[in-house]
Amino acid sequence: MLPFEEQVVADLLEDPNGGLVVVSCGLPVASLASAVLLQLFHQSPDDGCFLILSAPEPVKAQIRRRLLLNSQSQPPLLQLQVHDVAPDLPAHHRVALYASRAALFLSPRALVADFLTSRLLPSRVRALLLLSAHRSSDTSSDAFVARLLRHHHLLPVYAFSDRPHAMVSGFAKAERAMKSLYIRRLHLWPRFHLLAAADLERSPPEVIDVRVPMTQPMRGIQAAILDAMDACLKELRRTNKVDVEDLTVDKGLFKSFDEIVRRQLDPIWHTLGKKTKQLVADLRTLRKLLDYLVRYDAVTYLKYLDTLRVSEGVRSVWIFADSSHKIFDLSKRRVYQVVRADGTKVAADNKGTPTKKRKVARASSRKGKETENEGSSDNKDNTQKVNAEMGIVVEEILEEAPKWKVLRELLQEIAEEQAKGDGDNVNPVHEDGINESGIVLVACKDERSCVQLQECISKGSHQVMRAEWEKYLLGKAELHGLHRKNKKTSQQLKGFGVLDGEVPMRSGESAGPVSISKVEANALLAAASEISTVTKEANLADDSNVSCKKRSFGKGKGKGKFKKTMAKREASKLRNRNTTEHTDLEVEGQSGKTDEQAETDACKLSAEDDSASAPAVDKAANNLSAFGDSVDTEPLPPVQFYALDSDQHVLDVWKPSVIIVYHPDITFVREIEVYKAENPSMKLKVYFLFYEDSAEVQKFESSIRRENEAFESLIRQKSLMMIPVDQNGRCIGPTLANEPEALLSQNSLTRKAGGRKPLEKEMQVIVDMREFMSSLPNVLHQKGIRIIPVTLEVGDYVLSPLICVERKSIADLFQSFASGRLYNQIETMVRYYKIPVLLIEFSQDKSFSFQSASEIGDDVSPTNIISKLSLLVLHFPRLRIVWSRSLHATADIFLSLKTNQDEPDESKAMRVGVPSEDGVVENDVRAENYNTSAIEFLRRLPGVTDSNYRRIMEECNSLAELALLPVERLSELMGTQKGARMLKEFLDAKCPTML
Amino acid sequence: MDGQWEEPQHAGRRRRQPEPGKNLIKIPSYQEVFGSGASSSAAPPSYNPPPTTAASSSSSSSSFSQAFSFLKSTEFYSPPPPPPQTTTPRPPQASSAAQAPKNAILVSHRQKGNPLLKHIRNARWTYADIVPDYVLGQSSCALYISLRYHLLHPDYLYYRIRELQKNFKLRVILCHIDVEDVVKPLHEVTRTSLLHDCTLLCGWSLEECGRYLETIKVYENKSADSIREHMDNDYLSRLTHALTSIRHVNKTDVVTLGSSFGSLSQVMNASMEELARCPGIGERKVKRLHDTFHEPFKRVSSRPNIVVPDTPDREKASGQPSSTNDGAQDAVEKPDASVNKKSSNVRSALTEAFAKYSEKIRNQNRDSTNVAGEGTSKSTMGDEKDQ
Repeated sequence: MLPFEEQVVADLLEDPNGGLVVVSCGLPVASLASAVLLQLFHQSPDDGCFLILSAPEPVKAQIRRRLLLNSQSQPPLLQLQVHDVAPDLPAHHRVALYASRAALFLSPRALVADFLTSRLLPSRVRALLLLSAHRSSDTSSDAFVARLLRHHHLLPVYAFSDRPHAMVSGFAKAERAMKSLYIRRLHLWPRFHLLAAADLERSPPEVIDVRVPMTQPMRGIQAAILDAMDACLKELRRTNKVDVEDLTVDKGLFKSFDEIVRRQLDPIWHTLGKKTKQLVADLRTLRKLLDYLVRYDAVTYLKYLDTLRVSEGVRSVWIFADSSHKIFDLSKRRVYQVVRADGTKVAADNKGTPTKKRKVARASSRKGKETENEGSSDNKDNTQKVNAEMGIVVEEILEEAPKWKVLRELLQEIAEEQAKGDGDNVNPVHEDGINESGIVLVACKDERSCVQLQECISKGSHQVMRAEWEKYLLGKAELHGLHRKNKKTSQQLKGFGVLDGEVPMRSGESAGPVSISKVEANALLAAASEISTVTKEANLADDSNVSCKKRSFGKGKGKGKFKKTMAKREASKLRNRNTTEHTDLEVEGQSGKTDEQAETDACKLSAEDDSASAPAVDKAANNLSAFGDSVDTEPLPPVQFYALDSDQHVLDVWKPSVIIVYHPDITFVREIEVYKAENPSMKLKVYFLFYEDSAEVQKFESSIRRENEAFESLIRQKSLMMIPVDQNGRCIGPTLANEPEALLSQNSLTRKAGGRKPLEKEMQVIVDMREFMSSLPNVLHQKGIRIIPVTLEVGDYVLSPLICVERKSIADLFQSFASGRLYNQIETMVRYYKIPVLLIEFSQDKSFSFQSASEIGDDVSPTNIISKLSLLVLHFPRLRIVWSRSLHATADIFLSLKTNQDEPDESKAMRVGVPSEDGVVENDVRAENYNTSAIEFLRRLPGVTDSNYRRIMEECNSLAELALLPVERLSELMGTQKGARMLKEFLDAKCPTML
Repeated sequence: MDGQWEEPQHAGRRRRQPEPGKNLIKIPSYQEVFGSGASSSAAPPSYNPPPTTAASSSSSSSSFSQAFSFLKSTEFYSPPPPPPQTTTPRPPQASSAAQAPKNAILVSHRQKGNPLLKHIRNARWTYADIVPDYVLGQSSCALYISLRYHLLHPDYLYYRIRELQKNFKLRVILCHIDVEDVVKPLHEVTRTSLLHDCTLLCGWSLEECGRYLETIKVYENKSADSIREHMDNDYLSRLTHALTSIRHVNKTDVVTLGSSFGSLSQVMNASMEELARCPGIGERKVKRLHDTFHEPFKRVSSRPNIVVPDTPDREKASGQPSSTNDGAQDAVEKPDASVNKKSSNVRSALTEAFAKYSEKIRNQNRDSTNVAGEGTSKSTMGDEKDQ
């Protein structure tokens, strides 16, 4: 614990009512929460349990580890235990955990249900902790839990947030969050706070800033993407519907920019044209392209662009602009170039840029020269063979990411420094660290970058690029073969005409699969095409003849076995040359095997892959160092790769002595600072790798500036904030809610004149358990309605013995119409209730409209929402439709519907609860219905209907098991042979989705 | 009422010229029935102030309904005289109505001048003497109201619904939302229509309102197959439809996953590392995809136990609300006793299921920990073992 953290905890615990703490992202929320829990526990160890809501998984793990470390130094009676209460735990297990004096991680949905059914009494709770307070609002589940607790019993609520910019989004967000959680104190701890800055800067780590220049094509791509974004923003500005201040390219680099634009456009979304909506989507796509440019290698980036063109090419606005032509062209230039056999360039590519690019490529690395040498040798060979052909050859460039080279140089430099350090007897300084020279931690954005960098270090960057290129080529060839079979080549060719540079390339590539099939079939006499020949020639230089045989074997047998051959070929690279003969024997043996034996081999290969991936998963330093030594024979330090997206907080576990921040991130920078401040005696060196003059640098600096602006705004808000005296919840609800009920009961007593007593004194609504995922039960509870949570088979809300309500949000309504689920739900409601109600609930912030005027069209279309609603109304004349503007409007409608009901209806509502008592028993079973995402996915598969999906769920444990079942088994489960065959064909059909 | 329709609109001034003609035509019919009724109906057009307009509207509607009821009784008792009266003023419309009454929307005369009629294009319509505003089929009708008009005349909708009595099976309130602050008036319209057995349909433009009317007419005898479950034959559409049910997965991700793995079954059986290698698929999407495909449905052992105790009587328990309404107290007591007995059986079965479930949950937690295979989870396992 740092001194400023102790100060935060002391300030927070001053007010017995609790408080809201906002810290910079990266500062340790987990240690603050742990300290709060421990101090509260030691103050009064005989009180109730501690409830912790909305904790992300990494924070949960950190809290558990800190409490465990603390409990080891305490006697057993004073140990604070930690339990993770999953929502699918049975009810009696949860009740037992509530009775203990432990810290409980919970989901608010299960907690609300337990409160409303009195499984957990508020008096048994010591404190409530919220670890993502920036997501709280008056309609969120966290606020619902806080109100239920405050309703009967005053206890502290401690809220934490490390998202200051989320706290300033919207109007008075921090103030509204405090109000919804009944908190009166706001504590702000930015990075530039005097206490925090003093602690973190007392012994800072050694920081080295490495600026890596981008290559010419990368710079061109970045400029083109920024031009496209600027054009989109200008187009948006022209619509006169968005606030102009926020529309700059600098702010467009962040994810929150999409939210800002979307929030401004949501109220008028239905009046926008298709072009404006597409512009908003295009801005997001362009931001992703800009981010992936510095994260992915050249081949993967080109593959992603191809994917984008397939999926968005028809609708996008930017993809037809001039700058997009630059993006696609330069991305292709980074990978390959189309030239003639005699060495001159194709006429379409005859520009000045390629010449400059080739010069830059030559200067960039020696391996580039080797590639060109191979290219020239290929040209010489092809001169003799391809005289009759078009004369077009693909020259591979395979530009490597500049950071790869810099990373390797840094690792060598670090190894030299560590060798010198060992020679100088610096070991006593590392007593706190590992006995070996320290671990080098490389922080990347995602797991994919980690794996690729690891391969670069172990195998060499050129090998990695070549492997990606071969995958790309083979994927394209296979897809072209599929297109040939489906006779879609003409359509594809029309699509290719959009970009000029594509036309000769496509004509060259279209011959590829034909020649491959010819070589395989040995039927025709023509020579192989340029691509296939170039690929084989290049492989001849790198691999032995066995590789060619393996490839032909893989091609002949199918794609699955092709993967097997690829795995074998990769394995053969790691072995010595002496095993070539052994591989020959294996290949010859495989050719004679049957399909079943081949499948057995595939299983074995998959097992081998699992065993091969196990060391990678373990990330053992010794294995990596041994691996590196065996391959490259260069001494490199042990390297750990860490994905920032995984958010695991690994610094305390691995204790590295050198950190290379490959993708800079402000949160990780703060974590490094805290780690160094907590371990001042440890020696730490940090390298930052930046691309010079890139969006990466701009984004990193802007994120720091944005956080500081957020804190300044929060500080200004805090000075102006007016908090009511009763915001701690002493005066809420019961009084206001009880008065009208008392009047009603008096009137009913007077009316009955001493007759039957009313069974209820307050309004109540029976709510389905699944409805607690939405905010409507929360709002109903705010209005003073008593919520009875049960599991309902029919409908979502029961307002009276006659009225049942099925609630649909707009997206849910469209999906239910599309899947046909809504018809079944309405059918059962009409059967059992006299007044079935369909509640179409619009969101408060979005437009109150179904569709824009341009979507109506001139004819009656069966797929339009108006047609579907009309059909539903025609087939169920008794169905009532309620159109609600917001959650509060829904609650008002419910209240008015209930006040107009007769008194006997209220008594009959208890009889509706009679099957609900069984529903309460069923409640636990429904709560265990955990994987709703898988169930929804299952119901969307073809052949799966409402009648058979339950049986499929019973027999198959998961979707992965379902995919492996044979057709006979599926037909038994689904009841029809046709449906089973349909489903099996859908699962096993190939996806002809790439170009 | 036609005069009142024209007042909120700008075209009211132009419509004033036909008013005397209409009134002159109607006055003889009133004179034939009542002499004094004609003089009272002549009063409304001349008065402009709203309070007198409201009063005159109620009196006009009452007198009009009385006249209409007398006309009905007249038609009922003597069929020959009414056809000549209707055919005399508008021969072409009468002939078209007589030829094909079922294929056209019948529009009330009070809807004259409503710009909504311009947007009824996909179905034929004709004027007729009807109580509702539109008759869309043998058993379906519609009343039209806009929120702006409702704010001016809050009781209009109530009286119009009351005039319908119980004549139609499907009664639609077609509400045109033409004001900004919709919460309060829409709340009132919703409550009125719901308490009086009408179905409320909202349209945000006159095109939408017209589309509702013509769609209900065109789809009068159409089956409900289009809103039941249907399948497209396009493979990519079905794949996108299935995969986008997982949160955060968009169309580009569907194309990426398809091209990387080749088939849906291979996507389902892919590991987290394989999913993470696809471009554009981040950590959150990888976790959601993997959890959807590999997490069990978690209904395996409890569902047979629930199904086994079920009896035909148990199935009727779901229909208890309706049976409770109809049954007597003695009948109610007996189902309560039987429900109590069955609930005890169900509870004993469920306790056994929970014991099995707790074991499976622990195993699944361990399996999920092994599947994750991360360093932090290993330390977590260590913590759990120490505890």
